Amino acid sequence: MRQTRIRRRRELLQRKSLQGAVVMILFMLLPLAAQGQDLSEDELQVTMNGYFDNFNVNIVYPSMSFTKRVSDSTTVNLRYLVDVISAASMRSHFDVDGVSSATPKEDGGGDDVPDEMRQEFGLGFTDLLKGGLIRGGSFSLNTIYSTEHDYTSFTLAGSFSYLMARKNTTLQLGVVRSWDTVAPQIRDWKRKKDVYTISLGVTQILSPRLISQLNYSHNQSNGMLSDAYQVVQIAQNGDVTNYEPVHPDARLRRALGLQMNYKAGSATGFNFGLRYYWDDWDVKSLTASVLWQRHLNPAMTVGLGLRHYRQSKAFFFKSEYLAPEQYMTVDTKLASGYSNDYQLTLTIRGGYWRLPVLASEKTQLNLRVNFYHRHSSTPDWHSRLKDLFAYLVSLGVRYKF
Amino acid sequence: MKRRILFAMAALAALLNSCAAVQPWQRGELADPIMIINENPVDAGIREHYLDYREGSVGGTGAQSGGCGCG
Repeated sequence: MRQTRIRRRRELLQRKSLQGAVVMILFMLLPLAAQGQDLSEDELQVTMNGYFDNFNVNIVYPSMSFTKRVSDSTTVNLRYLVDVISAASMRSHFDVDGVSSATPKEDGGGDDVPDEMRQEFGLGFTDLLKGGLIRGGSFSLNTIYSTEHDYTSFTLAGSFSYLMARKNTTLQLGVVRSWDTVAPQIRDWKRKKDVYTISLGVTQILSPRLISQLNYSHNQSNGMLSDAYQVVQIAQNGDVTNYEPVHPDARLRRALGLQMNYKAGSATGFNFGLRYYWDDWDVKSLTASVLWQRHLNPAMTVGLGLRHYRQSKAFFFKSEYLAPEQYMTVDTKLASGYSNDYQLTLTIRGGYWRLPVLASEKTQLNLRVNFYHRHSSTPDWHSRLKDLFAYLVSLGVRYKF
Repeated sequence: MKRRILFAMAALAALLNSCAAVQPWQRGELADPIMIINENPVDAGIREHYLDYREGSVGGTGAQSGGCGCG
């Protein structure tokens, strides 16, 4: 009896301390005064992206984004992106690429013919809230529709941001809801996946040279959460049987990230990032990143970045299954491992050059090259390799008018 | 774990709000494009997308991607 009372009291104290922490955060943030916000500039951005790895996956994905102010307080934006995947699929005896899950279209085939194409359309607006209790805030609503022959996804994202403390603090609240439909061409079923995400962010100016952002995201996924193109092979009595992977049909994923930007001198900036992630499949990860950027002259900025990521495995991931189990997977994303991403960026501003593309000072050219290495403790189910090496190249033009 | 994270956030919030307000005329360095957090959301979304598809974690970065995704 006494022990029960002590346990209840301890639980009550724990609950109170949680509530206390939340109240403390709100108490410290609320008394600050609201200020007005600015809208983003009119802009057209066209980017060509490429991805190439040692698993023979080649992807080219051009994208286009357009932002236009339509009134004193409202901007609209349009976005279009295409993924064109080639090469890997036709070389696979499963007719599916083990990394990207790209599948050949019925009329696809051959190494020089794109095997799969995904198109993504985005439409949204941002509105400054000029009256009422939330004067000084802004509201954004965005929709994304993504389609390919075996997958469709519709996303609705709303966000609210609020400037306070003489524009030194910005609070952000975001809500995202996705409705996905999976219809693998090697299966005879169609299944749903629903994703809800709530995110909270605080951006704070700490000094004339230091700014930070803290982000928390809470993501709940339900439905079809496994990759239907992957195959779990189990050897029993001398025979090998192929099984569909089975993942739990719900996943709660949470992440807390901190970013800090520091300006050193007049031409150098550092961006530090740290993120901790955990979910109810027992995957935990830590991500640390640093990006150094320097203005070489008024027309050119160079950047070098390094990102390190390390994760633990999901509770049901095994390198080998000896018999069918309730949950089974071969997905490398659920294995323990680490990755390193090395980044080089180059920004060239217009107005200083004789080239036609860069003649106007409203134009900016962005080049980004990444070298990505992922190591997993268990070999990839398809390529049987533990190490993935990938090159990513992005070349974009931004035109502000 | 929850308790630790909430207290860490509370401590950070206290730290952030204990800072003296930076006046508008002191923000010249912060207006530099290399100091803007998520300066190019389109590019950040594309980058987030390929990492989401190759690693087991998502979120906490402020960037957003969509769709199934091989890229």
